[in-house]
Amino acid sequence: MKRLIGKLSLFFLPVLLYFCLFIAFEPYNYFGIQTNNYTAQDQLIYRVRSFDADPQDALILGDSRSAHFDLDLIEQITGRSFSTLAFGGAGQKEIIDLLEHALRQNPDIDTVYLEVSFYLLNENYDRDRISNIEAITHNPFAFLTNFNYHLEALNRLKMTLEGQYLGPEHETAEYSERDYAASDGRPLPHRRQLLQYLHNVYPNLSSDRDGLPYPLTRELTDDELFSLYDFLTDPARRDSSIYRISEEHLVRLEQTAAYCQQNGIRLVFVLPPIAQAMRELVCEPLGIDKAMQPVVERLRATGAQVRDFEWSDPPDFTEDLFFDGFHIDTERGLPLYTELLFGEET
Amino acid sequence: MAFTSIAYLFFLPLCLAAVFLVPHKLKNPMLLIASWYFYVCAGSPGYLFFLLLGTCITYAFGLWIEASSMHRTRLSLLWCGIGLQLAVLIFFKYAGVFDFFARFAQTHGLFSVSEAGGVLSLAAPLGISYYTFQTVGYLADVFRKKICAEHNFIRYALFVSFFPQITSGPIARADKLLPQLDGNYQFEYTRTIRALQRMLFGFFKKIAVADVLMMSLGELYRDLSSLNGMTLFFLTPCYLFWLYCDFSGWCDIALATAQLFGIELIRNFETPLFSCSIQEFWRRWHISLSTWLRDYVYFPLGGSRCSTLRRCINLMIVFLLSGIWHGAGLNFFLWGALFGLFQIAENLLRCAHKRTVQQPHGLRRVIQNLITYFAVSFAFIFFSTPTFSDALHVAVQQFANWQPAAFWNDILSAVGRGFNSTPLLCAAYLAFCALGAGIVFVADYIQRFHLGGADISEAFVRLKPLARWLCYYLLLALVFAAFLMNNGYYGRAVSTAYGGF
Repeated sequence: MKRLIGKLSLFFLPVLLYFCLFIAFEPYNYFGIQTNNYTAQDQLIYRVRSFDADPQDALILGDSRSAHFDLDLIEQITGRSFSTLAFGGAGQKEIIDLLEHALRQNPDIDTVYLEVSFYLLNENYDRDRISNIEAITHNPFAFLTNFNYHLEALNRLKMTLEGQYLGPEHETAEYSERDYAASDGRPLPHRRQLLQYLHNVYPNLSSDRDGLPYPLTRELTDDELFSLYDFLTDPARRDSSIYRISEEHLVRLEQTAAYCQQNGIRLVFVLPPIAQAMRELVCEPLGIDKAMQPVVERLRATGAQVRDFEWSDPPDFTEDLFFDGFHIDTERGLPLYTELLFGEET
Repeated sequence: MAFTSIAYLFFLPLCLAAVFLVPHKLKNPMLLIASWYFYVCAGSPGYLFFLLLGTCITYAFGLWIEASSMHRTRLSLLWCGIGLQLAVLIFFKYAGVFDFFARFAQTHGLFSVSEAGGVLSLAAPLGISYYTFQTVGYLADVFRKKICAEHNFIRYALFVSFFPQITSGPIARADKLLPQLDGNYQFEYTRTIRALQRMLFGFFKKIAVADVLMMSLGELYRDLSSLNGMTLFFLTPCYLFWLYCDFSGWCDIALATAQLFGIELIRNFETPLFSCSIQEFWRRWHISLSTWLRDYVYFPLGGSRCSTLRRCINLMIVFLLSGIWHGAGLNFFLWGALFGLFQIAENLLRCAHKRTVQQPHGLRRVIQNLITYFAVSFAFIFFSTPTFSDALHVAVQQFANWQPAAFWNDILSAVGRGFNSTPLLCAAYLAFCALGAGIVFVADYIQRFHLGGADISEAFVRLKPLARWLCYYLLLALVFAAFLMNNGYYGRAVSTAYGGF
């Protein structure tokens, strides 16, 4: 028997060593033993586990546009502790599923800031990973055997060996005159990074993905940026819109509002601000602004508070306060937005 | 709990330790409790009732048959016992025919119900087809006085419920298994090593080959109408290979598990994909079922010792029974009928040329092997597709409109949907599948032509220690990688293709 145990130990040793490596480099610090993992806190698994361990009665839900709020700043502004289950890449269904999960974990929740946006309500944008995440957050074996996490761990290991920066991500940048003007001095219609971003986002909303003048895989030149502006503002673009509101998601939002009303939960639908370039060059030419009008009306009709910074009440934010078409600069813009959104909680 | 679940890795050593360490008198009860526990964890607790019911019925009838001296009484008791056992099987498997009962069950939430083609059918208790045949065989053997009826209920219940084979076979024979359930379960080092070697290869076939292959194969089967003819042509041969790896891998794990206790179960597969005739294929594929049908259906009908016409009828009956044993649908019936026709045609051709069965050699062997493989694959179209119209579509369209570019596109789309669409991971997946298939092919070849059909553990034994350990680590790495590719099976109900019978 001892011989057998010795041989089995030798047999399984590589597996054990690999798991040790995985635990050391997995991106979510699931077991809480990593000392230098700054990115884990932004990840859904970490947030769900944190929430389950210490749920607050006020909650933020959304995608990456709601995922970088400074909770300490919110506490300073509102005098309350908030939890966040917002994460990058979330879909509308997942956001609502997470709310249901949160309510199961903490029936005392009394305040919910729930993100809605034209991008989330896009019929073609649908993700459903929450049931899997719920299993993983409470089952270490499910976590240890998830293929994607192993790929991410190996990627982190590779980056570590290459000496790449693994610190926290900041959606912020410094801009110079060159970012706002062509090399010949002509002012660009919008900051060049914004134009480039819109060029990449556009195919998700238009059937004209093959009609884009330039390939998606490289940075555009100054002349190409000007041409892109003309292309995007061409009225003919409206016919290429493939944007459709998901009625299923909208109905679920209405049901969520009804539930919150019945259970005394203050629900705030938040439509985060978008850059003027996004509105002017993508949303308006493709008729998305018009498609969203009845959506906002339906959300208001539920009785829940609607903070619509996307369409009816956009803040007066300049371009340099946006990191890209959707995301507010975390250093310059986000504190202002936080004050604007949560200021009324006091 | 399934063999491929993490829970099994804890269950098995605990079970072994418990059985080896308890006093002799308690070994069988301990193993029986473990088997029932395994059965409940593998399926639904409610279905344990039917397993126990079948056990009690056949235990009692076995004793009554033995106690009776009059032939007519014995025969009546035999048919009564078989009838009761088969009634439960027919009720669950073919209740779709009696749609009324299924709707009643659905309304009152009695059992799980699925709906296909507008007809409801009940989810059958796990392994019911296997243990029904096993117990029917037991009654027949008692009737024929081949064996004595088992008086010890614990031992008999263990014969029916023994956990390595309860969910997906092999179908054990009473005269082989019952004597081994004598409670003398001891640890033995060499036997354990051989069992673990066999288990490792079983896990490799099941997890690293079959379950990985099914990621893309499953996607292809979701929408057969959109597939190119060339894709359809290669689809069923791939399916046959997948089914072989899935089921034989599962059986290897089952046999190895039993071997750890010192119990030998019947081997279910003997390198069937190298068969050169339909007859040979069925001698080597799902052996426990085919020999059961031979001994308890074909021979009592007269077997080969009758006229040619009668022999053909007997063969057709056996293959049709084999078909409907697998399922109640028209597809399974046609699958059995096709094999019946193939077998009859083969026999008639052999008789016409007055040839005895001889193993071909060289190139002729390769050609006959390929013809047999594709003929078997053709019949399996009806086994693999959900409906008759799907089967017909595959059977007809596979010869039309061959476009290599469309074929490649179908494959890459399926891999993208089923696994990952990143080009690098796509390529890695295809390479992984090719490597796995290559290893299975080589292993089967070695078993067939160099080991005289002996178990794969014999191949390990013949290697030098360094080569043996390199093989261990290669297989372990592939199994581990495949286990991760399946996300540890969390969120997916996975057993084996034959786990639903």
